[in-house]
Amino acid sequence: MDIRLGARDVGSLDPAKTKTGSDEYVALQIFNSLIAPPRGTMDIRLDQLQPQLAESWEISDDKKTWTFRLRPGVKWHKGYGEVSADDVKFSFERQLDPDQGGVHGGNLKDIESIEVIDPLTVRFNLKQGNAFFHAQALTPGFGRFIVPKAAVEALGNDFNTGPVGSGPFELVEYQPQEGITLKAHEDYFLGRPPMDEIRFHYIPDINAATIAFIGGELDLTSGQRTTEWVDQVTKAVPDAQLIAIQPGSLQFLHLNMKVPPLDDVRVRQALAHGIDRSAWGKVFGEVHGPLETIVPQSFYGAIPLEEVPRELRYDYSPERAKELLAQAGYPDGFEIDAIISERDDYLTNMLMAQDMLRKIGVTINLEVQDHATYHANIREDKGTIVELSTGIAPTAPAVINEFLHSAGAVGQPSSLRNFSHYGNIGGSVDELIEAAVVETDTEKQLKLLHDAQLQIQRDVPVLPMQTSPLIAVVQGDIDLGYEPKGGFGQHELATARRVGN
Amino acid sequence: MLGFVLKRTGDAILTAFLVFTFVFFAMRLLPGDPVVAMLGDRAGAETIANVRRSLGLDQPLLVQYGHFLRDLLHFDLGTSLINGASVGEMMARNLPYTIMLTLASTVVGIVIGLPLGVLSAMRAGKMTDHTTRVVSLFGSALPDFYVGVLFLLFFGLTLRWFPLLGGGSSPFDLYHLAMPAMALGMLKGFGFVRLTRTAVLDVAGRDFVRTARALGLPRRDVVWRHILRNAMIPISTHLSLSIVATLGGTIALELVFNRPGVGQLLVGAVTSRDYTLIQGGIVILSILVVFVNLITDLLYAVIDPRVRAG
Repeated sequence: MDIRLGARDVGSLDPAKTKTGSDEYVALQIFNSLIAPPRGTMDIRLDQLQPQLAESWEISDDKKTWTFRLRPGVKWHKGYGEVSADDVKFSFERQLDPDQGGVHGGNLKDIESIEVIDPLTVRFNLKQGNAFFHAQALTPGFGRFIVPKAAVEALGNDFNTGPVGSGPFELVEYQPQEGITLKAHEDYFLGRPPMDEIRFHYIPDINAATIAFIGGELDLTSGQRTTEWVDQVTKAVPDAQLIAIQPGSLQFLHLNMKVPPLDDVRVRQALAHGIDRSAWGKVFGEVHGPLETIVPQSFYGAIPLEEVPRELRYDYSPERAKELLAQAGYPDGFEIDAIISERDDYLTNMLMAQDMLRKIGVTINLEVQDHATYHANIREDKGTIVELSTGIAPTAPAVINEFLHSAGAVGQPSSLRNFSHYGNIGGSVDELIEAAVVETDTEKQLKLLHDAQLQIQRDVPVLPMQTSPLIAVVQGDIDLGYEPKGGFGQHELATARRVGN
Repeated sequence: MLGFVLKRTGDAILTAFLVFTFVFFAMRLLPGDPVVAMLGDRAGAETIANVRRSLGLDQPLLVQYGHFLRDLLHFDLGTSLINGASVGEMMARNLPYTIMLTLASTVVGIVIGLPLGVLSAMRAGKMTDHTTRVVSLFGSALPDFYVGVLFLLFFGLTLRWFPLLGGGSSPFDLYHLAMPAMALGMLKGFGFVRLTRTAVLDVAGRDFVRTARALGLPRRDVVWRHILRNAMIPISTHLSLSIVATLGGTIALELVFNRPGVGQLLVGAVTSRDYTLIQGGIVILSILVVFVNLITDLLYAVIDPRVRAG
């Protein structure tokens, strides 16, 4: 089976150091995590969790102690023995050492200690209760895969391009900038995968990948998130299966509250009324998902729309927007400079917003920058109206902590992606979200999360636009063995098989 | 002559050194951060700072420059900031693909361009000449990526003569090389047509050719011995320049055909702000270009003593 990777080369296949979505895609086939959401979803509700390397688990009532019992007899690739509790402890602890060059340590920072109870039992003791620890640290991806201690120590840096895991496929060959070949793991604990071989090809150019897919040289390729691309490919290959994974990327505009007149809540509310969110559905069609509040409805803890009072939904109303601007002292609107990435998904959204806001008298003077420059600049707090198009773990606390907690405000050592400085210089949901994370009563927890989202709706530090699903196409004769509904655009291939023909 | 050789060699080394230095500082003055590009937009500031420290990017610029020069003197181009691979090895792997594409497309260009250029000049003012000129003028204006995609669609997708992906098992894999070489060669050919035509017409109008004709020499002798031989001087100069330009200019076709090569490598490196890879790539390419120019200069000096005199 031939699959496109959109990168130019591997960053690292060591799960502690994966750099790109393409690295993660390959790692997903080679490694296992302790537990996982139901196949093809990002459903992280505790009662939905599926066993992977762990066959059972106990979580203390205060969510401070998480104990996992491993499946016995799970074999590492290439004769490195069986998966043990020592391997689990090693996999996480190495990432907490800043000198290891790991990049996912932030996901694991709640861990106080990891105890090996017996060869197949491991316990995580957290610094404080965290009801979302599993979503943040234990499910597949982003440093959460388990690696064999013996192989990592024996291979050193070679583990980056010669990984050894316990997953459905094992590495056969890595050819720099060309691709990666995997073969079926005969002793895979969930059964040998139907495909004998998986070949990942590095193809950075979307046109080259599209032509290769149409010509049948690729079985699966990611695609452009545009209706034109989807139409073009599905017309050229009529039996191709389209996979649109929601929510994909969240796309919204941060309003930098340090920059006048965005420091005035009436101005921010005016901008919210000046954006017609239904426009995105019309323009993007099936490559679109709604985003009425900052947390998509499908995420755990999202406030149901019916619980958001009418006036806080900011329905499209240029008249109301103008009223609010007049109240704030801008009866004729205002002009503001903004930078934006040249990448399609960024630029198109921003141009649409720019056009709509012009109708309420707000002129955004755009400076278009290349993507790397744009991201470096917004990290240095040079943004005013800052657009982001990004994937994130599917929980309300993840979204709010990342984008709206005061500790995440850009320009400080702990900075994440709070470009509006919400909580730092105005409004705050810090306390609500901190209380929600340690709250063990689900009902109370949801109440806290909903309150936080209502507060955000009142303060308008961000303008939600839409979600943009991750698009991929698969040849008609491939059956993945499950229906991909949610995720980061990487498909598990353990059950993929060729049918018909 | 020895003095001339030493001077030109010294100039070449100085030029290369200035290029390395310029690239080193220019890269770092560009906005954009390699660590942010590497870690994606999800990483927090602490992680970014840790990785920056581990890569030595937190050191003062002059210290980094010193390390760069020191490594260069040891023929060490460093390791890629993004994936830790040896830059020297990456260049060694990619350069042969670019060189093969450059040479193969140049051969295709000559095969197309020279005969058509001569024909056009010999039939100057006639229908054949007009047609060739218009076609070559139109052809030279076509963007290379566009021609690449057309070739890919026609020869790859419709006719299925050639593969759609990759550079094959080695740089010498003709099955994978043929299509990009034809596409690029055709574009080069259009350039050669116009150049050859001009050169041939220029020589054909000179006194010694008129004399040869007046003396009643056979037409074939006049064309081959007198006109073409002399026209080859500007044509071969153009050829060497074209080779140098192609070495660094195969980017679009490498991307379209998803073929390994220096162009594709460097575009990726610039996008991800992979300083060491960009530096390494420029070092190798500039040494190649300086070397080709040096050889050309020295050859001219051998052919034409006036050059030596300066």
